[in-house]
Amino acid sequence: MTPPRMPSRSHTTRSRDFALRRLGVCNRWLLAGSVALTGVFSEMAASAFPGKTHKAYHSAAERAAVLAAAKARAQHSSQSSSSSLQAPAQAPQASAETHSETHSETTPEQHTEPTPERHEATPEAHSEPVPERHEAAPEAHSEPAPEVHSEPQAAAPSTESAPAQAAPEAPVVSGGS
Amino acid sequence: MSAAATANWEALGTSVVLRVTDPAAMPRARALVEHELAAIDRACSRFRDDSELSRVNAAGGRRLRVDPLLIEALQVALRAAELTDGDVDPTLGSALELAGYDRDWALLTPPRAGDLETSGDRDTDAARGSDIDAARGSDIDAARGSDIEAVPRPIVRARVRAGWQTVELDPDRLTVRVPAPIRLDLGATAKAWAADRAARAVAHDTGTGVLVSLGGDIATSGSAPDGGWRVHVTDDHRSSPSAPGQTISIAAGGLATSSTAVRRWRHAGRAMHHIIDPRTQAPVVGAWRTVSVAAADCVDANIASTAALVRAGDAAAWLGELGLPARLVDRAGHVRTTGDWP
Repeated sequence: MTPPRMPSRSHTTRSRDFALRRLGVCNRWLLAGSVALTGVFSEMAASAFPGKTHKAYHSAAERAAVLAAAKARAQHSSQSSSSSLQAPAQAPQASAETHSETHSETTPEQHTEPTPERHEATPEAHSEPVPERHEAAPEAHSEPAPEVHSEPQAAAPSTESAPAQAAPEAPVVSGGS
Repeated sequence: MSAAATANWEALGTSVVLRVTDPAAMPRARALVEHELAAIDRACSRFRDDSELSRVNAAGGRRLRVDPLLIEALQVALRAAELTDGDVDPTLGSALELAGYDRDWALLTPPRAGDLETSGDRDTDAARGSDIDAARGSDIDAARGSDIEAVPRPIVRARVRAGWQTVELDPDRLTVRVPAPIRLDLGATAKAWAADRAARAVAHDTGTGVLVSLGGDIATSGSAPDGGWRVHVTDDHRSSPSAPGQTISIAAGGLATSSTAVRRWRHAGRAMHHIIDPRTQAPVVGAWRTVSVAAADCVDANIASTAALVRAGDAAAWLGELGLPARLVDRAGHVRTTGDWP
Protein backbone atom coordinates (compact mmCIF):
# COMPACT_ATOMS: atom_id res chain seq x y z
CA MET A 1 0.00 0.00 0.00
CA THR A 2 1.38 3.27 -1.08
CA PRO A 3 0.69 6.54 0.76
CA PRO A 4 -1.43 9.15 -1.12
CA ARG A 5 0.56 11.43 -3.26
CA MET A 6 0.70 14.97 -2.00
CA PRO A 7 0.25 17.78 -4.61
CA SER A 8 3.36 19.51 -5.47
CA ARG A 9 4.12 22.89 -4.05
CA SER A 10 4.20 24.60 -7.42
CA HIS A 11 0.75 23.31 -8.30
CA THR A 12 -0.70 24.67 -5.10
CA THR A 13 0.76 28.09 -5.75
CA ARG A 14 -0.60 28.24 -9.29
CA SER A 15 -4.08 27.34 -8.12
CA ARG A 16 -4.02 29.99 -5.48
CA ASP A 17 -2.82 32.66 -7.90
CA PHE A 18 -5.49 31.71 -10.39
CA ALA A 19 -8.21 31.95 -7.77
CA LEU A 20 -6.96 35.31 -6.61
CA ARG A 21 -7.00 36.67 -10.15
CA ARG A 22 -10.56 35.50 -10.65
CA LEU A 23 -11.52 37.07 -7.37
CA GLY A 24 -9.94 40.37 -8.43
CA VAL A 25 -11.77 40.37 -11.73
CA CYS A 26 -14.97 39.60 -9.94
CA ASN A 27 -14.42 42.47 -7.52
CA ARG A 28 -13.80 44.89 -10.35
CA TRP A 29 -17.01 43.84 -12.06
CA LEU A 30 -18.91 44.19 -8.84
CA LEU A 31 -17.47 47.62 -8.29
CA ALA A 32 -18.27 48.75 -11.81
CA GLY A 33 -21.74 47.30 -11.56
CA SER A 34 -22.47 49.02 -8.28
CA VAL A 35 -21.33 52.34 -9.67
CA ALA A 36 -23.50 51.87 -12.73
CA LEU A 37 -26.49 50.85 -10.66
CA THR A 38 -26.01 53.84 -8.37
CA GLY A 39 -26.16 56.12 -11.37
CA VAL A 40 -29.22 54.37 -12.75
CA PHE A 41 -31.06 54.51 -9.45
CA SER A 42 -30.14 58.14 -8.93
CA GLU A 43 -31.55 59.05 -12.33
CA MET A 44 -34.70 57.10 -11.60
CA ALA A 45 -35.12 58.82 -8.26
CA ALA A 46 -34.54 62.23 -9.82
CA SER A 47 -37.20 61.52 -12.40
CA ALA A 48 -39.65 60.14 -9.91
CA PHE A 49 -39.25 62.99 -7.36
CA PRO A 50 -38.30 66.14 -9.24
CA GLY A 51 -37.00 69.08 -7.24
CA LYS A 52 -38.97 72.34 -7.40
CA THR A 53 -36.14 74.41 -8.69
CA HIS A 54 -35.42 72.12 -11.61
CA LYS A 55 -38.82 72.20 -13.20
CA ALA A 56 -40.17 75.59 -12.09
CA TYR A 57 -38.70 77.64 -14.84
CA HIS A 58 -37.92 76.29 -18.26
CA SER A 59 -37.00 79.65 -19.63
CA ALA A 60 -36.15 83.14 -18.60
CA ALA A 61 -39.52 84.28 -19.87
CA GLU A 62 -41.35 81.75 -17.75
CA ARG A 63 -39.31 82.73 -14.74
CA ALA A 64 -40.08 86.39 -15.31
CA ALA A 65 -43.76 85.61 -15.62
CA VAL A 66 -43.79 83.68 -12.37
CA LEU A 67 -41.97 86.45 -10.56
CA ALA A 68 -44.31 89.05 -11.97
CA ALA A 69 -47.31 87.09 -10.77
CA ALA A 70 -45.83 86.80 -7.30
CA LYS A 71 -45.11 90.48 -7.26
CA ALA A 72 -48.61 91.32 -8.34
CA ARG A 73 -50.00 89.17 -5.58
CA ALA A 74 -47.76 90.86 -3.07
CA GLN A 75 -49.12 94.15 -4.34
CA HIS A 76 -52.68 93.12 -3.62
CA SER A 77 -53.02 96.47 -2.01
CA SER A 78 -51.76 99.21 -4.22
CA GLN A 79 -50.21 101.05 -1.33
CA SER A 80 -48.97 98.21 0.73
CA SER A 81 -45.97 97.35 -1.38
CA SER A 82 -44.07 100.60 -1.18
CA SER A 83 -41.28 100.43 1.34
CA SER A 84 -41.32 104.12 2.17
CA LEU A 85 -43.65 107.04 2.26
CA GLN A 86 -43.72 108.58 -1.17
CA ALA A 87 -43.47 112.30 -1.87
CA PRO A 88 -45.89 113.79 -4.37
CA ALA A 89 -44.89 113.87 -8.01
CA GLN A 90 -45.36 117.61 -7.90
CA ALA A 91 -44.94 119.75 -4.83
CA PRO A 92 -47.88 121.83 -3.61
CA GLN A 93 -48.01 125.37 -4.90
CA ALA A 94 -48.98 128.50 -3.09
CA SER A 95 -52.38 129.72 -4.06
CA ALA A 96 -51.84 133.24 -5.36
CA GLU A 97 -55.47 134.16 -5.00
CA THR A 98 -55.40 133.70 -1.26
CA HIS A 99 -51.91 134.85 -0.52
CA SER A 100 -53.03 138.01 1.18
CA GLU A 101 -55.46 136.01 3.26
CA THR A 102 -52.69 133.68 4.24
CA HIS A 103 -50.41 136.49 5.20
CA SER A 104 -53.00 137.97 7.44
CA GLU A 105 -53.01 134.82 9.52
CA THR A 106 -49.53 133.49 9.22
CA THR A 107 -46.27 135.25 9.30
CA PRO A 108 -44.00 135.87 6.34
CA GLU A 109 -41.42 134.02 8.35
CA GLN A 110 -43.46 130.90 8.06
CA HIS A 111 -42.77 130.77 4.36
CA THR A 112 -39.10 131.49 4.44
CA GLU A 113 -37.84 129.85 7.58
CA PRO A 114 -34.72 128.09 6.36
CA THR A 115 -33.84 125.86 9.26
CA PRO A 116 -36.97 124.71 10.94
CA GLU A 117 -35.24 122.45 13.42
CA ARG A 118 -33.56 125.31 15.16
CA HIS A 119 -36.80 127.14 15.64
CA GLU A 120 -38.84 124.23 16.70
CA ALA A 121 -41.19 125.02 19.50
CA THR A 122 -40.31 123.43 22.77
CA PRO A 123 -42.61 122.80 25.67
CA GLU A 124 -41.12 125.87 27.28
CA ALA A 125 -42.05 127.89 24.28
CA HIS A 126 -45.68 127.07 24.84
CA SER A 127 -45.78 129.23 27.88
CA GLU A 128 -44.22 132.20 26.18
CA PRO A 129 -46.40 135.05 25.10
CA VAL A 130 -47.87 134.34 21.73
CA PRO A 131 -46.07 136.45 19.19
CA GLU A 132 -47.98 138.46 16.68
CA ARG A 133 -46.97 136.09 13.92
CA HIS A 134 -48.77 132.95 14.69
CA GLU A 135 -51.76 131.00 13.59
CA ALA A 136 -54.77 131.52 15.75
CA ALA A 137 -56.06 128.58 17.68
CA PRO A 138 -59.52 127.32 16.88
CA GLU A 139 -61.02 129.63 19.50
CA ALA A 140 -60.38 132.37 17.02
CA HIS A 141 -63.48 131.15 15.21
CA SER A 142 -65.39 132.68 18.10
CA GLU A 143 -66.37 129.34 19.49
CA PRO A 144 -64.36 126.46 20.85
CA ALA A 145 -63.34 123.80 18.44
CA PRO A 146 -65.50 121.09 19.97
CA GLU A 147 -68.56 123.21 19.54
CA VAL A 148 -67.61 123.99 16.00
CA HIS A 149 -67.15 120.32 15.43
CA SER A 150 -70.28 119.10 17.04
CA GLU A 151 -72.62 121.69 15.70
CA PRO A 152 -72.49 120.76 12.03
CA GLN A 153 -72.40 117.12 12.91
CA ALA A 154 -75.63 117.32 14.79
CA ALA A 155 -77.26 119.23 12.01
CA ALA A 156 -75.86 117.32 9.11
CA PRO A 157 -77.79 114.39 7.70
CA SER A 158 -75.90 111.17 8.04
CA THR A 159 -75.37 110.24 4.44
CA GLU A 160 -78.29 111.15 2.28
CA SER A 161 -78.17 114.86 1.80
CA ALA A 162 -78.54 116.00 -1.75
CA PRO A 163 -75.40 117.14 -3.50
CA ALA A 164 -74.79 120.73 -2.70
CA GLN A 165 -73.39 122.51 -5.68
CA ALA A 166 -70.72 124.65 -4.10
CA ALA A 167 -68.76 127.29 -5.88
CA PRO A 168 -66.02 125.49 -7.76
CA GLU A 169 -63.53 128.15 -6.85
CA ALA A 170 -63.88 127.62 -3.13
CA PRO A 171 -60.94 125.61 -1.85
CA VAL A 172 -61.57 122.28 -0.22
CA VAL A 173 -60.71 122.40 3.47
CA SER A 174 -58.18 119.96 4.84
CA GLY A 175 -58.11 119.83 8.59
CA GLY A 176 -58.23 117.45 11.46
CA SER A 177 -61.22 115.17 11.65
CA MET B 1 -60.91 127.98 -13.98
CA SER B 2 -62.86 124.99 -15.19
CA ALA B 3 -66.48 124.54 -14.28
CA ALA B 4 -65.97 121.87 -11.71
CA ALA B 5 -68.86 120.39 -9.80
CA THR B 6 -68.90 119.63 -6.10
CA ALA B 7 -71.05 117.42 -3.90
CA ASN B 8 -71.04 117.22 -0.11
CA TRP B 9 -72.53 114.63 2.20
CA GLU B 10 -71.81 112.59 5.30
CA ALA B 11 -70.35 109.09 5.42
CA LEU B 12 -68.03 107.04 7.61
CA GLY B 13 -68.86 109.38 10.46
CA THR B 14 -67.37 112.37 8.71
CA SER B 15 -67.93 114.75 5.84
CA VAL B 16 -67.38 113.85 2.24
CA VAL B 17 -66.47 116.33 -0.47
CA LEU B 18 -66.46 115.13 -4.05
CA ARG B 19 -65.24 117.47 -6.74
CA VAL B 20 -64.97 116.58 -10.42
CA THR B 21 -63.67 118.54 -13.37
CA ASP B 22 -66.44 117.23 -15.61
CA PRO B 23 -69.82 118.13 -14.12
CA ALA B 24 -71.56 115.61 -16.34
CA ALA B 25 -69.67 112.85 -14.55
CA MET B 26 -70.93 113.86 -11.12
CA PRO B 27 -73.90 111.45 -10.80
CA ARG B 28 -71.82 108.47 -11.74
CA ALA B 29 -68.90 109.67 -9.66
CA ARG B 30 -71.02 110.08 -6.58
CA ALA B 31 -72.54 106.63 -7.02
CA LEU B 32 -69.07 105.15 -7.25
CA VAL B 33 -67.83 106.96 -4.17
CA GLU B 34 -70.90 105.99 -2.15
CA HIS B 35 -70.51 102.38 -3.19
CA GLU B 36 -66.85 102.37 -2.24
CA LEU B 37 -67.44 103.98 1.13
CA ALA B 38 -70.29 101.63 1.96
CA ALA B 39 -68.11 98.61 1.21
CA ILE B 40 -65.28 99.93 3.35
CA ASP B 41 -67.67 100.73 6.17
CA ARG B 42 -68.95 97.15 6.14
CA ALA B 43 -65.40 95.84 6.23
CA CYS B 44 -63.59 98.25 8.53
CA SER B 45 -66.01 99.92 10.93
CA ARG B 46 -65.30 99.41 14.61
CA PHE B 47 -68.79 100.59 15.47
CA ARG B 48 -70.84 98.15 13.41
CA ASP B 49 -71.50 94.78 14.92
CA ASP B 50 -71.85 93.27 11.46
CA SER B 51 -68.54 94.55 10.12
CA GLU B 52 -65.67 92.27 9.30
CA LEU B 53 -63.46 94.16 11.72
CA SER B 54 -65.92 93.64 14.57
CA ARG B 55 -65.92 89.95 13.79
CA VAL B 56 -62.14 89.85 14.10
CA ASN B 57 -62.19 91.85 17.32
CA ALA B 58 -64.75 89.46 18.78
CA ALA B 59 -62.95 86.31 17.67
CA GLY B 60 -61.12 85.86 20.93
CA GLY B 61 -57.80 85.13 19.32
CA ARG B 62 -59.10 82.65 16.77
CA ARG B 63 -57.95 82.79 13.19
CA LEU B 64 -60.71 83.97 10.87
CA ARG B 65 -61.24 84.02 7.17
CA VAL B 66 -62.34 87.54 6.25
CA ASP B 67 -63.37 89.69 3.33
CA PRO B 68 -60.51 90.59 0.94
CA LEU B 69 -61.31 94.25 1.49
CA LEU B 70 -60.43 93.94 5.17
CA ILE B 71 -57.27 92.08 4.27
CA GLU B 72 -56.28 94.97 2.07
CA ALA B 73 -57.15 97.50 4.76
CA LEU B 74 -55.06 95.58 7.24
CA GLN B 75 -52.15 95.47 4.84
CA VAL B 76 -52.33 99.24 4.55
CA ALA B 77 -52.51 99.62 8.33
CA LEU B 78 -49.63 97.26 8.99
CA ARG B 79 -47.53 98.99 6.38
CA ALA B 80 -48.22 102.26 8.15
CA ALA B 81 -47.06 100.75 11.41
CA GLU B 82 -43.93 99.36 9.83
CA LEU B 83 -42.99 102.61 8.10
CA THR B 84 -43.46 104.63 11.27
CA ASP B 85 -41.85 102.21 13.70
CA GLY B 86 -45.22 101.65 15.26
CA ASP B 87 -46.24 105.29 15.69
CA VAL B 88 -49.33 104.58 13.62
CA ASP B 89 -50.54 101.33 15.12
CA PRO B 90 -53.78 99.51 14.24
CA THR B 91 -53.85 97.63 17.54
CA LEU B 92 -54.98 100.60 19.61
CA GLY B 93 -58.65 99.72 19.64
CA SER B 94 -58.64 98.91 23.34
CA ALA B 95 -56.82 102.13 24.20
CA LEU B 96 -59.39 104.16 22.30
CA GLU B 97 -62.22 102.35 24.03
CA LEU B 98 -60.66 102.95 27.41
CA ALA B 99 -60.39 106.59 26.50
CA GLY B 100 -64.13 106.56 25.91
CA TYR B 101 -64.12 106.32 22.14
CA ASP B 102 -66.30 103.23 22.18
CA ARG B 103 -69.08 104.32 19.88
CA ASP B 104 -69.57 106.40 16.80
CA TRP B 105 -67.98 109.79 17.15
CA ALA B 106 -71.31 111.56 16.68
CA LEU B 107 -72.62 109.84 19.80
CA LEU B 108 -69.80 110.92 22.09
CA THR B 109 -70.23 113.72 24.57
CA PRO B 110 -68.43 116.82 23.39
CA PRO B 111 -66.05 118.37 25.90
CA ARG B 112 -66.95 121.50 27.76
CA ALA B 113 -64.67 124.38 28.44
CA GLY B 114 -64.68 123.47 32.12
CA ASP B 115 -63.50 119.97 31.35
CA LEU B 116 -60.37 121.31 29.84
CA GLU B 117 -59.37 122.89 33.09
CA THR B 118 -59.88 119.78 35.09
CA SER B 119 -56.94 118.52 37.02
CA GLY B 120 -56.62 115.13 38.48
CA ASP B 121 -54.05 112.44 38.53
CA ARG B 122 -50.81 113.67 37.18
CA ASP B 123 -49.42 110.42 36.14
CA THR B 124 -46.84 111.32 33.61
CA ASP B 125 -44.90 108.15 33.43
CA ALA B 126 -47.61 105.89 32.32
CA ALA B 127 -46.42 103.83 30.09
CA ARG B 128 -44.13 102.61 27.67
CA GLY B 129 -44.62 98.95 27.57
CA SER B 130 -45.94 98.57 31.04
CA ASP B 131 -48.96 96.45 31.68
CA ILE B 132 -51.40 98.54 33.48
CA ASP B 133 -54.63 98.03 35.18
CA ALA B 134 -57.63 99.87 34.03
CA ALA B 135 -58.97 103.02 32.62
CA ARG B 136 -58.90 105.70 35.23
CA GLY B 137 -59.64 108.76 33.21
CA SER B 138 -57.30 111.43 32.08
CA ASP B 139 -55.63 114.47 33.33
CA ILE B 140 -55.70 117.66 31.46
CA ASP B 141 -52.79 119.92 31.22
CA ALA B 142 -53.89 123.32 30.16
CA ALA B 143 -50.84 124.18 28.19
CA ARG B 144 -51.25 127.89 28.24
CA GLY B 145 -54.06 130.15 29.05
CA SER B 146 -55.79 128.76 26.05
CA ASP B 147 -58.17 125.93 26.76
CA ILE B 148 -58.24 124.43 23.36
CA GLU B 149 -54.72 123.24 23.45
CA ALA B 150 -55.07 121.62 26.80
CA VAL B 151 -53.84 118.11 26.37
CA PRO B 152 -54.76 115.07 28.37
CA ARG B 153 -52.02 113.45 30.35
CA PRO B 154 -51.54 109.78 29.77
CA ILE B 155 -53.61 108.24 32.46
CA VAL B 156 -55.77 105.98 30.41
CA ARG B 157 -54.27 102.60 30.86
CA ALA B 158 -54.72 99.33 29.17
CA ARG B 159 -53.91 95.89 30.39
CA VAL B 160 -53.39 95.02 26.80
CA ARG B 161 -49.91 95.26 25.49
CA ALA B 162 -50.77 96.18 21.97
CA GLY B 163 -48.40 95.87 19.09
CA TRP B 164 -48.88 95.66 15.38
CA GLN B 165 -46.40 92.80 15.15
CA THR B 166 -48.85 90.56 16.94
CA VAL B 167 -51.30 90.64 14.05
CA GLU B 168 -51.06 87.50 11.93
CA LEU B 169 -52.21 88.21 8.42
CA ASP B 170 -52.26 85.72 5.57
CA PRO B 171 -53.29 87.47 2.35
CA ASP B 172 -53.20 84.25 0.36
CA ARG B 173 -55.62 82.41 2.61
CA LEU B 174 -57.49 85.61 3.49
CA THR B 175 -57.13 84.93 7.18
CA VAL B 176 -56.27 87.10 10.12
CA ARG B 177 -55.62 86.36 13.77
CA VAL B 178 -55.33 88.91 16.52
CA PRO B 179 -54.30 87.85 20.05
CA ALA B 180 -57.30 87.80 22.30
CA PRO B 181 -57.00 90.99 24.36
CA ILE B 182 -56.06 93.16 21.42
CA ARG B 183 -58.67 95.00 19.43
CA LEU B 184 -58.01 96.58 16.09
CA ASP B 185 -58.88 100.09 15.04
CA LEU B 186 -58.25 101.19 11.48
CA GLY B 187 -59.22 104.80 11.96
CA ALA B 188 -55.69 106.01 11.37
CA THR B 189 -55.52 104.73 7.81
CA ALA B 190 -58.88 103.50 6.56
CA LYS B 191 -60.34 106.90 5.80
CA ALA B 192 -57.39 108.02 3.69
CA TRP B 193 -57.26 104.64 2.01
CA ALA B 194 -60.96 104.94 1.21
CA ALA B 195 -60.38 108.37 -0.31
CA ASP B 196 -57.62 106.99 -2.52
CA ARG B 197 -59.74 104.06 -3.65
CA ALA B 198 -62.75 106.22 -4.35
CA ALA B 199 -60.78 108.78 -6.34
CA ARG B 200 -59.11 106.11 -8.43
CA ALA B 201 -62.41 104.38 -9.08
CA VAL B 202 -64.02 107.60 -10.28
CA ALA B 203 -61.12 108.58 -12.52
CA HIS B 204 -60.90 105.09 -13.98
CA ASP B 205 -64.59 104.75 -14.61
CA THR B 206 -65.47 108.23 -15.83
CA GLY B 207 -62.20 109.68 -17.02
CA THR B 208 -62.81 112.90 -15.14
CA GLY B 209 -60.35 114.59 -12.87
CA VAL B 210 -61.51 114.05 -9.33
CA LEU B 211 -60.84 115.09 -5.76
CA VAL B 212 -62.28 113.13 -2.85
CA SER B 213 -62.06 114.51 0.67
CA LEU B 214 -63.03 112.37 3.63
CA GLY B 215 -62.88 114.45 6.75
CA GLY B 216 -60.15 116.59 5.23
CA ASP B 217 -58.06 113.68 3.99
CA ILE B 218 -57.79 114.47 0.31
CA ALA B 219 -57.10 112.16 -2.61
CA THR B 220 -56.93 113.19 -6.23
CA SER B 221 -56.86 111.26 -9.46
CA GLY B 222 -56.98 112.08 -13.14
CA SER B 223 -56.25 115.49 -14.55
CA ALA B 224 -56.37 118.40 -12.17
CA PRO B 225 -58.15 121.60 -13.15
CA ASP B 226 -56.16 124.57 -14.32
CA GLY B 227 -54.08 125.80 -11.44
CA GLY B 228 -54.48 122.54 -9.56
CA TRP B 229 -56.88 121.54 -6.81
CA ARG B 230 -57.13 124.36 -4.30
CA VAL B 231 -56.97 123.25 -0.70
CA HIS B 232 -57.12 125.29 2.48
CA VAL B 233 -55.24 123.66 5.36
CA THR B 234 -56.38 124.50 8.87
CA ASP B 235 -57.10 122.89 12.22
CA ASP B 236 -60.60 121.63 11.56
CA HIS B 237 -61.83 120.26 8.26
CA ARG B 238 -65.29 121.61 9.01
CA SER B 239 -64.01 125.16 9.15
CA SER B 240 -64.67 127.64 6.39
CA PRO B 241 -61.95 128.41 3.85
CA SER B 242 -61.40 131.70 5.65
CA ALA B 243 -60.29 130.00 8.87
CA PRO B 244 -56.71 130.57 9.99
CA GLY B 245 -54.44 128.52 7.82
CA GLN B 246 -53.03 128.51 4.33
CA THR B 247 -54.45 127.93 0.88
CA ILE B 248 -52.37 125.93 -1.55
CA SER B 249 -52.94 123.96 -4.71
CA ILE B 250 -51.98 120.40 -5.52
CA ALA B 251 -51.78 118.89 -8.97
CA ALA B 252 -51.80 115.23 -8.00
CA GLY B 253 -51.45 112.82 -5.14
CA GLY B 254 -52.91 113.31 -1.72
CA LEU B 255 -52.91 115.70 1.18
CA ALA B 256 -53.89 114.97 4.76
CA THR B 257 -54.11 116.95 7.95
CA SER B 258 -54.08 115.50 11.44
CA SER B 259 -54.87 117.56 14.47
CA THR B 260 -55.31 117.15 18.18
CA ALA B 261 -57.59 120.19 18.20
CA VAL B 262 -60.56 118.30 16.80
CA ARG B 263 -62.48 115.10 17.43
CA ARG B 264 -62.32 115.68 21.11
CA TRP B 265 -64.81 114.29 23.54
CA ARG B 266 -65.54 114.17 27.21
CA HIS B 267 -64.75 111.09 29.23
CA ALA B 268 -64.72 110.78 32.99
CA GLY B 269 -65.17 114.51 33.19
CA ARG B 270 -62.19 115.23 31.08
CA ALA B 271 -61.48 116.07 27.48
CA MET B 272 -59.89 113.47 25.24
CA HIS B 273 -58.83 113.33 21.61
CA HIS B 274 -58.49 110.55 19.14
CA ILE B 275 -54.80 110.37 18.34
CA ILE B 276 -53.25 107.80 20.61
CA ASP B 277 -49.58 107.44 21.37
CA PRO B 278 -48.87 103.69 21.17
CA ARG B 279 -46.18 104.01 23.80
CA THR B 280 -48.39 105.55 26.43
CA GLN B 281 -51.69 104.11 25.20
CA ALA B 282 -53.08 107.57 25.83
CA PRO B 283 -53.96 110.62 23.74
CA VAL B 284 -50.88 112.24 22.31
CA VAL B 285 -49.19 114.96 24.29
CA GLY B 286 -46.90 116.62 21.86
CA ALA B 287 -45.47 119.80 20.51
CA TRP B 288 -47.69 119.96 17.44
CA ARG B 289 -51.31 120.88 17.24
CA THR B 290 -51.89 120.30 13.55
CA VAL B 291 -49.78 118.72 10.82
CA SER B 292 -50.54 118.77 7.10
CA VAL B 293 -48.57 116.61 4.66
CA ALA B 294 -48.64 116.22 0.89
CA ALA B 295 -47.62 112.86 -0.54
CA ALA B 296 -47.99 110.60 -3.53
CA ASP B 297 -51.36 109.49 -2.25
CA CYS B 298 -53.67 110.22 0.61
CA VAL B 299 -52.68 107.16 2.63
CA ASP B 300 -49.03 108.14 2.70
CA ALA B 301 -49.93 111.72 3.54
CA ASN B 302 -52.15 110.59 6.39
CA ILE B 303 -49.59 108.15 7.75
CA ALA B 304 -47.02 110.92 7.83
CA SER B 305 -49.27 113.54 9.39
CA THR B 306 -50.49 111.19 12.11
CA ALA B 307 -47.01 109.91 12.89
CA ALA B 308 -45.73 113.47 13.06
CA LEU B 309 -48.16 114.27 15.86
CA VAL B 310 -46.99 111.20 17.76
CA ARG B 311 -43.31 111.90 17.14
CA ALA B 312 -43.64 115.41 18.46
CA GLY B 313 -40.22 117.08 18.51
CA ASP B 314 -38.66 114.67 16.04
CA ALA B 315 -41.41 115.11 13.50
CA ALA B 316 -40.02 117.95 11.42
CA ALA B 317 -36.65 116.28 10.95
CA TRP B 318 -38.32 112.99 10.12
CA LEU B 319 -40.58 114.56 7.51
CA GLY B 320 -37.64 116.45 6.09
CA GLU B 321 -35.63 113.26 5.71
CA LEU B 322 -38.50 111.69 3.84
CA GLY B 323 -38.69 114.69 1.53
CA LEU B 324 -42.35 115.17 2.28
CA PRO B 325 -43.77 118.68 1.96
CA ALA B 326 -45.39 119.38 5.30
CA ARG B 327 -46.74 122.18 7.42
CA LEU B 328 -46.60 121.85 11.18
CA VAL B 329 -48.41 124.13 13.59
CA ASP B 330 -47.34 124.00 17.20
CA ARG B 331 -49.56 124.52 20.19
CA ALA B 332 -48.73 128.21 20.25
CA GLY B 333 -49.68 128.62 16.60
CA HIS B 334 -46.18 128.87 15.18
CA VAL B 335 -45.86 127.36 11.76
CA ARG B 336 -42.96 125.39 10.37
CA THR B 337 -42.65 123.78 6.99
CA THR B 338 -40.58 120.97 5.52
CA GLY B 339 -39.72 119.85 2.01
CA ASP B 340 -41.22 121.85 -0.80
CA TRP B 341 -44.17 123.10 1.11
CA PRO B 342 -44.99 126.57 -0.31
